[in-house]
Amino acid sequence: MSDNQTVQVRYDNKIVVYFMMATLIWAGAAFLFGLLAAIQLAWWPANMNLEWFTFGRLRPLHTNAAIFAFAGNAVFAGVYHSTQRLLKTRMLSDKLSWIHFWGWQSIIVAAAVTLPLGFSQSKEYAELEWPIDIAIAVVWIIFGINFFGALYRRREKHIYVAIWFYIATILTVALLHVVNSLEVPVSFLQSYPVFAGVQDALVQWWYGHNAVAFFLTTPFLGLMYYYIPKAVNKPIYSYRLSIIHFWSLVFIYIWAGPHHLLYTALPDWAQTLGMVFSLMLWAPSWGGMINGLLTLRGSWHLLRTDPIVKFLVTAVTFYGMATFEGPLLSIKSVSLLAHYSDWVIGHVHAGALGWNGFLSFGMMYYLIPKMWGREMHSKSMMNYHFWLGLSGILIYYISMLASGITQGLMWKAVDGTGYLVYPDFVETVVKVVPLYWVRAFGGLLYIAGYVVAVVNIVKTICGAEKLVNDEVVTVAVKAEKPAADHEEGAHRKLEGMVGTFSVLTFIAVLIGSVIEIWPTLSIHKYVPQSQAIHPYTALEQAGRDIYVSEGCYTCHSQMIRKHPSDVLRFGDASTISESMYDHPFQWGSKRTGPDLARIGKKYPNLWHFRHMDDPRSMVEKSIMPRYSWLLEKKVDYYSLRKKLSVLRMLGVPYTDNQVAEADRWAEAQADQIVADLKNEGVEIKRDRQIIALIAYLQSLGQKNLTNSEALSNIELAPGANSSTDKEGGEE
Amino acid sequence: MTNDENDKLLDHEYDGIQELDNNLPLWWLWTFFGAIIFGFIYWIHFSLTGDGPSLDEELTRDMAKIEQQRKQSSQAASGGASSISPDQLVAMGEKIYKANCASCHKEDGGGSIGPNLTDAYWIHGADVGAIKQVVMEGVLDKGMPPWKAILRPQEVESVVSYVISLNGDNVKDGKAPQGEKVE
Repeated sequence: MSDNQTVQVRYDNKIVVYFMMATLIWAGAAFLFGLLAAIQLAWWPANMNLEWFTFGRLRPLHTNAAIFAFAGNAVFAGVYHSTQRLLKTRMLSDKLSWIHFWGWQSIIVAAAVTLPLGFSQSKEYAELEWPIDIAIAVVWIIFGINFFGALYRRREKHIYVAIWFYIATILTVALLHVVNSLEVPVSFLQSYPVFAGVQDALVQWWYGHNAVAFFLTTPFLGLMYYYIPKAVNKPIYSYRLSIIHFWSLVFIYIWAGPHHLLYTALPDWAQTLGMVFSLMLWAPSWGGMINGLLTLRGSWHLLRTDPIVKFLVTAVTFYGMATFEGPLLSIKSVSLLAHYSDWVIGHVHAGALGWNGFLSFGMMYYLIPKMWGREMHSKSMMNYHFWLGLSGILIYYISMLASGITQGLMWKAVDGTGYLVYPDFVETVVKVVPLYWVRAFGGLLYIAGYVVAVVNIVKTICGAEKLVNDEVVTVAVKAEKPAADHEEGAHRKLEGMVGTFSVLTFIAVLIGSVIEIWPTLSIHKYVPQSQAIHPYTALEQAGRDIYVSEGCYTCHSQMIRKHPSDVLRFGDASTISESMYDHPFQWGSKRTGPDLARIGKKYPNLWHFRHMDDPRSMVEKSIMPRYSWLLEKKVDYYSLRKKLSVLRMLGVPYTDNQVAEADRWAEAQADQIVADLKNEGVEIKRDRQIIALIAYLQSLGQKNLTNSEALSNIELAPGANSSTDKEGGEE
Repeated sequence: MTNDENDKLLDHEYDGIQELDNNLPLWWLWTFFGAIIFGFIYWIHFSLTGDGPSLDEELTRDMAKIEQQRKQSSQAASGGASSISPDQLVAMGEKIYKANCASCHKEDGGGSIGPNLTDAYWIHGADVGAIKQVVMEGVLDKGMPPWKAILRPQEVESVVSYVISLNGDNVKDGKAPQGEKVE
């Protein structure tokens, strides 16, 4: 065999272009949904009194579009482009590439249809229902086969650092998605997660945090490692830094999930691990930033002259900022101030708009001229895009930082006499509404930049002479032995062994996952009997399904933290047992409105009735949308039999009778609420959604064994031992 | 940064991308080690030895402190109670009533979700003690929330005074009488 052979390789450019176009289109959707959601918080009538576009349904649509449609397609474009070139091979199969492309776009369309219709699991960034979850898993595996197939057929013995990050991405996202989506269907578009309460909380935030890590960080680091040296034509700053920061990042990141649950009912040991691993994550994250930025040494002048470099370098800078702020927010005392507040919203947008957004646009500005063989239509438009976008991000971030700190301080303020300074929650809402306008303006600027980009890109493409063609290149294939006669380092050897490399990566993410999640899976076994709680009645469960479907968690938490300011405002700190039958958990992550963990019995049924119909009739300055359709839409009581039987299968202790006659049980309790409302002068039929929702809200924080009210509702169940007729004793 | 880059340029090349092999920046290494050392000590203190307070212990301690503050301030307030006249008390109560009570009992006290406060009928008793009890502890079965965690003792006094001042107004369009008549 000679030392060098040459081979002709045909790179698939068409798939890259398709993914780029999908990125651009979905970016517009994600941004517009975001802008509308921002305006809704500033001005509640923007909810338009339409159930499909209330904030609770729109917010998941916005986050899913931004993460999976915009960022996801950008990642795929970059991965398909750079992988072929780094491995000197076409992807394994064109067919798989196109199944991947169209499969992913169909999933996005399915999400865009089902989320506004209220089919949601209300688990953050995993809201989509089970048929779509299965589709995601299948398409992701197809992507994996296509990618690993290409790896297998590579014509480059060693794999470059970008490929390491792609491997970590594909393996870990598959693991996260599958475990967090374990659910049992009750109907075509509804399911209950197998985990409940604290288990579900831990699994969900293990997923949620690492979706940020392995969907929005590792693939983008891979893109950075390819497109920055390409754009500036300089070598990567440090190979050994790549090694250290890659392995430490994938090993440490997976542990950090519990920092979303500080001061909650999650056991202390898990919170402590979540915090310390988040702090340890700071340096590994900055390793990526250093390698990106210092690659520019000697080429800093490009920052003035080359818009692509502006986008890429600003993206990496935002990455550095967000990964410094992340560990900061994970410190328990900082989290106490910032959690549930707008600070976190600001934090994620610095990451999403700055790091993911700007890196994607920078990459596209690099790719488009290559794909169409033509310079960008206008360099100054690229600069306009940059400055509009950058001002947008800064205005967005600063306004949300200010809002978040304001909220945190007002919520926490307890004066020297031991009382809350701002006991009225709505005071703290009204205070930050002006900042919601500022945030919306920031978003608008970012969108303006996007519009300029679209015009520029369309003009570039229209002016191109040829359509995208496959690129045929002649590549040199090195012989197995390295030309130089020196020993390979251990890691270099590993880079030649893709299977071993992948297994080690998978083990690295598995260690933290198992250590944190495993003990929690059996935690409910250890809840003392004396602290056990009643499961929801059939009607309450029906109401809970409505709560979940409307996305109430996007504004209301159900977790009173172990801190005096929370306890004074909302009541005793939430316990593990109280949510032990919650499939899914609804602890929430945001308090645009007050916590609801102990809202039960705080107000009469009539209050909730009027408040859901028109929140401002009860709380004058409320910014909550109206939910008048709950007074019209019906509950399918019959389906409760199936629902309760599935829940029983998952461990909720319903009796045979309760399951078999769940509908009658629900109707009996609904009759009581209807009667109570009638007493107060409101006529409503018992099959309306509002009745079930009232039952659920009234049960929150009221399910302790000692609670007689909860017991009387249990006794309503047909076949229960005691008399079902309790009318005599009421009122 | 005067190092000669070419010396460290690795012989590998991927699609034209080369890598240097610069040493890890010292400050970066120390950040990393520092976080690991801190994390380890923190973990030992709070998880392994249990020397650090648990969140439950912290909460109990802080709540006890707040209880203490409340006691002290109410003692101080009762010492100087004469500083506020009954009229001032009612005026203060009106403000608190409008902010917290009016959404259910109406601005004029005529009642809506909650009962009419201006008629002669009382569900839980008409004397100061009974009304104060209802404001402080609430009536959970009827949806009257407890206010003792939110309102200061003097604020409770004031709102009770205001409610008593409303009584006898018998406003038009008030809610139908509930409870027993108290002459």
